[in-house]
Amino acid sequence: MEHAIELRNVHKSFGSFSITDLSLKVKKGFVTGFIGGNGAGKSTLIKMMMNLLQPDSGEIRVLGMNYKENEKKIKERIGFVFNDATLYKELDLSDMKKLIAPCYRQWDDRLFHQYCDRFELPLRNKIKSFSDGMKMKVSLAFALSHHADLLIMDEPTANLDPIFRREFMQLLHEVMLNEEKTILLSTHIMSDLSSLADYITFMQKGQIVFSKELHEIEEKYAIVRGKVELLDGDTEQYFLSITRTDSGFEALTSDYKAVQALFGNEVIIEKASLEEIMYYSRGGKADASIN
Amino acid sequence: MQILISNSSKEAIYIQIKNQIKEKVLSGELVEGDALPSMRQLAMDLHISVITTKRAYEELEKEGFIYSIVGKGSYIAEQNADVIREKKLTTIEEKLVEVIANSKEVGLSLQDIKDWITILYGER
Amino acid sequence: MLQLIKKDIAIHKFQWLLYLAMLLFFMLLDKDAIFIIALMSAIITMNAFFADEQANGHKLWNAMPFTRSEIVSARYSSLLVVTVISMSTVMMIEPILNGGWDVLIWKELVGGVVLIMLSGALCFPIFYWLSQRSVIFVLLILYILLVIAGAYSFYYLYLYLSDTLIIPQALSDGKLFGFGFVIALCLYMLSWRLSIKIYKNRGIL
Repeated sequence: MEHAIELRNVHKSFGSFSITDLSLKVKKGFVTGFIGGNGAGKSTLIKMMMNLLQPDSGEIRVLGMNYKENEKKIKERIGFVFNDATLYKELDLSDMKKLIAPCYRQWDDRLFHQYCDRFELPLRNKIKSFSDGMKMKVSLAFALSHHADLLIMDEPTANLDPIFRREFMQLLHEVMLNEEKTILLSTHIMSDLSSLADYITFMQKGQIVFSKELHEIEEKYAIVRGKVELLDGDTEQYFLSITRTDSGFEALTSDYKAVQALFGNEVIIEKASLEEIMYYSRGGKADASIN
Repeated sequence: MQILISNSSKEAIYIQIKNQIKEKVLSGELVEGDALPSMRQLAMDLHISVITTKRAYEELEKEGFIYSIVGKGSYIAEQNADVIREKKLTTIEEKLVEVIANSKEVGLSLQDIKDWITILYGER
Repeated sequence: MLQLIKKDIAIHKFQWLLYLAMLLFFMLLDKDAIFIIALMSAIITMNAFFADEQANGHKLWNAMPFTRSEIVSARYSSLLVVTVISMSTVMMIEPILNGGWDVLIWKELVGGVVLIMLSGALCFPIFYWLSQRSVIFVLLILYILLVIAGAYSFYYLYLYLSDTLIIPQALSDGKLFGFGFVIALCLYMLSWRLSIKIYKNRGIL
């Protein structure tokens, strides 16, 4: 089994939103970062991967199994963190653990308490007294305490302060020491990804714009700045999106080498950050293919 | 094994790792049979993605600097003295090419460079 | 699945004391056992539904190793468990308050079970169909009101049936209650299956 998650020709529509004929593979043993604006369909896709939503058509396989036959087996091996807390506010953490722990065969109580210590979570305080960040830590502790092979996280870092966010990244690195583990996380915070993610999947309006190795993105995408006069019908072909101002143009290319060969030293070419790629790709061309 | 990477460098991180390990082999700091940290360990230590270290190791393996045993790890490969010399010569050539290119940019003549090298060579 | 039933009992925690106090209060008011059993079971179950909604329970339990059928079945089972708990509590307290059991208390116990099954059968599929945090509270209150109304209508229905000459001749009390119990049970099972079908097709948002 090479892929932890496989989606094949998945269709799903509700209201005005729709995902059509989407296929995606999430590589086992690696971290896949899931990016895209609000309403791009990241959460919907994640929910389909967890069988919270069922596709209208298409096939979904998780850890080599499908939900129809192996729902419990699959979920036994998934650790999840959602962006909204799934916790009983009137209970304290220790009670909450008593609800969750017996549901997993591989629950590791010692590990759970280690995480609680490390995250400084009080076991005896009601969950309603916890801050959003603490609730996220609770979900994380639950997700990590049953030796899950696949961690699925929907914007886990949204409510975390910068200090814990770093520790969170460290934690995920520790998980990835084991090559049997796979992490899929969606996020708005791009700096999280560059230090962790191996693959980046970019979604927009229910479609996957690209799903690539981090290097490929770093090597191919670039921000190009130069004089407006350089642009014409031919040269514009090389760019996914162009902004013109009086002082020049700024554009995104996904073919670094071609642009360099074309313009040479006449333009400034810089590595594009994921944010820039997202920003310039909105409403633009889906992928860079220069003919 | 110490590896220092720079996030603001123009050079891709995997190339930085590759070059530093290469340097350590060529300088004799790492010798045949020395174990490298696992790529997952190295990724965690350097706060970079696993695929980055994987790529660095793969290229080092392709170039004959290291070999990997599935399930065990990666080790420094046997370095033939001639091969090492050859590799060092290649490195020197690359650097000289760079020096020449830079010199031309600022308008130094061949004689200027030669003179300069003579002075520096004598000082060492 | 047993874990889910345990969860339905455990999430109330200290509220169980409150439930006991309410139950005692009603008993001291000399309310009918049928009313008390049905009302208490309904309140406790309503509270479980409500706590689940508040905790994003659908998301939580569906993301854990459970199937949708198990999640629905656990709720249908835990309603019965809660009913048995309230029945036994009433049975235990009754002799303390009244110095012994009324010979006819079995009628009220059976009536309570029948009522709780009927109202559950009617309401649960609607909860699984509609449950959205905005309307769930209204639905749950309607459920309680239905149970209260049911308790009274049962009482009057029984009086009416006993007053009409034909029914008592044709059916003894035993047969009448047995008949009612079987019908309620059948409806409960049907509703159970229906809820599973509804819940299986539902998207968890």
